[in-house]
Amino acid sequence: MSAFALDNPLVREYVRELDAALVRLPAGQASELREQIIAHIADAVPPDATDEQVAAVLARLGSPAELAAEATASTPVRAADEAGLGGPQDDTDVRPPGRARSALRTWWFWVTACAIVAVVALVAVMALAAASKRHAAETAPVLLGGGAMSWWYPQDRAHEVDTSVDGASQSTVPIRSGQWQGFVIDLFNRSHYTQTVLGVASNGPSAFAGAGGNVGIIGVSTPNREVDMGGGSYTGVKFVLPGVIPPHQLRALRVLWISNTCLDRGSYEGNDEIALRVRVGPITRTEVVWLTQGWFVTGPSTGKYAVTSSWCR
Amino acid sequence: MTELRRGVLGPCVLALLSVRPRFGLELVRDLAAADGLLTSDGTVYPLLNRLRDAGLVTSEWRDDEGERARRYYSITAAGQESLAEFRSGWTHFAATVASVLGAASAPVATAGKGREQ
Repeated sequence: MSAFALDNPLVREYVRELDAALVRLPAGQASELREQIIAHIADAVPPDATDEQVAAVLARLGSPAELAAEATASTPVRAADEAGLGGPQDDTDVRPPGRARSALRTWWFWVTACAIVAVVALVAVMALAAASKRHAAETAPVLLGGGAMSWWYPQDRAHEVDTSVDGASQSTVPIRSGQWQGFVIDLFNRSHYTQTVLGVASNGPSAFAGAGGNVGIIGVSTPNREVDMGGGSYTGVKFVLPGVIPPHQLRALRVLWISNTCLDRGSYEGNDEIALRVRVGPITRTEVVWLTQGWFVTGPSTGKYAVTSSWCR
Repeated sequence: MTELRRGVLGPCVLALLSVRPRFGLELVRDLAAADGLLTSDGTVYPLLNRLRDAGLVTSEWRDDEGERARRYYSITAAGQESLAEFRSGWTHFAATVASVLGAASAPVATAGKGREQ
């Protein structure tokens, strides 16, 4: 196509009107006809043509509306063109590389567009599902303490004093300063998620037996029929960390600490809650678990540890 | 006449292409040389596309040295066959039309003369 033909304002205006008139044709058909008309103009208009000569060529072509009407009225719509493929009708119809590339571009455009839409939709669905799952996990009920419970060591069980005032229960044992003390309590997972106890949370109630007597060891029982059924005997039960509690199942939580403090007669320390780090589905959170009753140690500190340990000097 | 012209334009295109392949403007000019056959140059292109869709014409791009690439149209074997059928039918059809037109025009002329007399 001569540069002149394209640059001529009359031709530009004609092509613009042609594009507008062909808009109702299938894309491939319109593109082909446009290409043919432009090629015709380029061949028919010499480089040194005057505006009058250009106008005469365009007049002989017929108006864009007539061309579109001719193409629309008598040309069956081709499905391939509608799909933007515009492929040749037989093997011998070799299209120029540019046109072939254009058809391929159109084809690939739609394939790529569909793929992008599918990927975006998939990502959106996955994000929504993840958000929904996360939200469900965040709102899952925390672990519930209760059921069977007991001081862990026999010497504490032998001296425990249980009281209940105004619905508040408390179990108290003499402090054995410098020694391990602790209790075991059932934990029930009320949620639909497996909850895994990872350890003691640093940002919640977890202190037993003095400011320096934070919980030393916790553990969740491994599957044990007796514990799972709510039994109170922990003979032979193993406690592990992290401790997995499947949905709607019961496990035992053992809480042990070294009572590294000294208490005077009549003073006591303890807690009725413990903050645990728990993984729930895709999230990890702090759960403050209600221990059903208070677990307390009381003074006076006695025995050799009370005399020799640094805490009691 | 417009419809008749449209009806015969396709066979005329096939006839020109049966001589040798032609590119668009060349074909248009040859058709235009036959006076009264083309109402507008542009209508040839939708016709060529229809013929190609029907398998009667094919096209290929030629990029001759020193020339810009042009799409050349050729007649296919099916096109040759279709053209042959049209030619045989057209001869008979044109004779019939001429006969009818001739027969129909004679009484009118006679009557006119009669009235003149």
